[in-house]
Amino acid sequence: MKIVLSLVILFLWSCTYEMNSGGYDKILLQETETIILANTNNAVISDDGRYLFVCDSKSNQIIKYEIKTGKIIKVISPDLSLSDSICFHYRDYPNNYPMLYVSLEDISKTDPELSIANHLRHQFRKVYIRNQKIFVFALVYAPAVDKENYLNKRITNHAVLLEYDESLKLLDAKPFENTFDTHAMSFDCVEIDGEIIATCSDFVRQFQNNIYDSLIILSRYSGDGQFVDKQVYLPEVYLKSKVGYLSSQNVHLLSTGDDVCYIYPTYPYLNFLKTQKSIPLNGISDLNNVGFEKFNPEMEIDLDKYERAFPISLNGLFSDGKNIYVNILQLVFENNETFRTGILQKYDLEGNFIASIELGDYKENKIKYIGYAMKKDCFYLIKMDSQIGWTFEYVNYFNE
Amino acid sequence: MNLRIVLFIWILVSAIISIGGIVPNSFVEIRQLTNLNTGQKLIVTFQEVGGNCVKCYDVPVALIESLKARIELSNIKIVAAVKCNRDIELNVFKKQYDWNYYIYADKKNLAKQLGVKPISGLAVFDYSGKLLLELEAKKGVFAEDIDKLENVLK
Repeated sequence: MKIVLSLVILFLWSCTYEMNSGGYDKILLQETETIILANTNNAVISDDGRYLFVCDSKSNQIIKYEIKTGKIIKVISPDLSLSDSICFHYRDYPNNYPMLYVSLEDISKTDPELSIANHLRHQFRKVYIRNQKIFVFALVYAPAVDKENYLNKRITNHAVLLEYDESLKLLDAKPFENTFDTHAMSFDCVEIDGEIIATCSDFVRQFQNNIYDSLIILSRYSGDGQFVDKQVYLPEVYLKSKVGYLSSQNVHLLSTGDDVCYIYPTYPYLNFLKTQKSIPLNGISDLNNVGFEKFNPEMEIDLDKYERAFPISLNGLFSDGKNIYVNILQLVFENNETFRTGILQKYDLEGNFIASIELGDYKENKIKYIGYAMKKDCFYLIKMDSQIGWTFEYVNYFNE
Repeated sequence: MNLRIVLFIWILVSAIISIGGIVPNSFVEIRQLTNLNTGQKLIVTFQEVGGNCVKCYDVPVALIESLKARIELSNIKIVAAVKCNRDIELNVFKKQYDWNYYIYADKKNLAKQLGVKPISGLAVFDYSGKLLLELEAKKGVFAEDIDKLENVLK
């Protein structure tokens, strides 16, 4: 009788935990009425392995979770006052344009109700940790007025690097300098040798002027955000096909220690900044050729056609310190049906291919983000199930 | 006998068409949500939960606000179709925007179901679900767009 009872208790206990194949628990990430996960842009684990920082681009929050319990520890949203970080660093518009960046206090002199505030919807785009500080790459909108009479108002977007302590108290805000033909875009940035490599763009101006020559995609900035030089232009295939002028090409960046590795969303190559190597991704490097060859602006309007032409999309890039991992989504056609399947490829720090694994149907595996937990020495997944909610779990891949 | 069956099918099809045609379930849901009545028109703005460019939200809203100054909106229902995975995400939209009309949780690509281009930010339908107008709702063509809206709604 006791044995039966023990077995029943053991069975019931095992049902309260959902175990994955790696043998780790799945942890439900807490949400509340106002703190909701909608789209995990990226996530990072603290050096001691205790906390998970999630950057959610839709709910526009950085949420600090205790990994063990999944409980929310702290949440921050971009404060309206971030606008002031622009005018504190840069008073004049670039290119001698006759406008001035102004503070919210200045604006309130002519607009006491601060009606402009509705348009200053700053966004958090990426979170990373360095030296126990939390850095957030943000899109910040700044007001500017006519130099002559302060009447004409304009709002511009800026890439700003925000620095927080571990309790998410804001310590510093560094706006990236914009120049005549380089506008920093707050998509991704990486620190190397005390400087910052950040995504930038000039496609709007070149598109308007019908200039088809080259497009800047990465620039180098000093540690405090001053522009140093242009580093990388979009690959020629984007220029020949004109894909680069009509679609936003958001690059993912990764520091490998000595170099910076980067990927484009639709160009299946692993690229390196210093060595200037461009390595085709194993087995999939030519699958987007049809898109580049047959691209036309109509494709952008018809999303189905666009996705069929570019079946490969590179969604993430991360490292365990010894290897580089590329998170890929592939659109597969089978029996007149299309579905997305996940692929994770492993390369060494020089870009030599090691292995590739299939992660299965994107809808079924529910994986929204993959990263590497250094302290635990394994991968972690953030998943979204419309019934359960958002979950966190550790997994072992590549038989490690 | 066969003639009777054909006649029955013909009457059935005619009846369906006369009461509004075969419309996607999602449109029926929106009709119920907004209490849309026969003869009324529906403005749908296609939104996402936060995190998108400011203009994608502001321009459709500005169009509706400008429209209010031109025509009576009593026979027009307005709904934001907000792309999301779960209903709870609508709380984010409510928190981020001062939206004063109906909100519909768009979990299955409503635009595609209703035959609206992905690039469109706003569309107008009649009670039967017929697409009367779709606008990209860009800032540069605001004056043209407001005229088009007025024409189709007055």
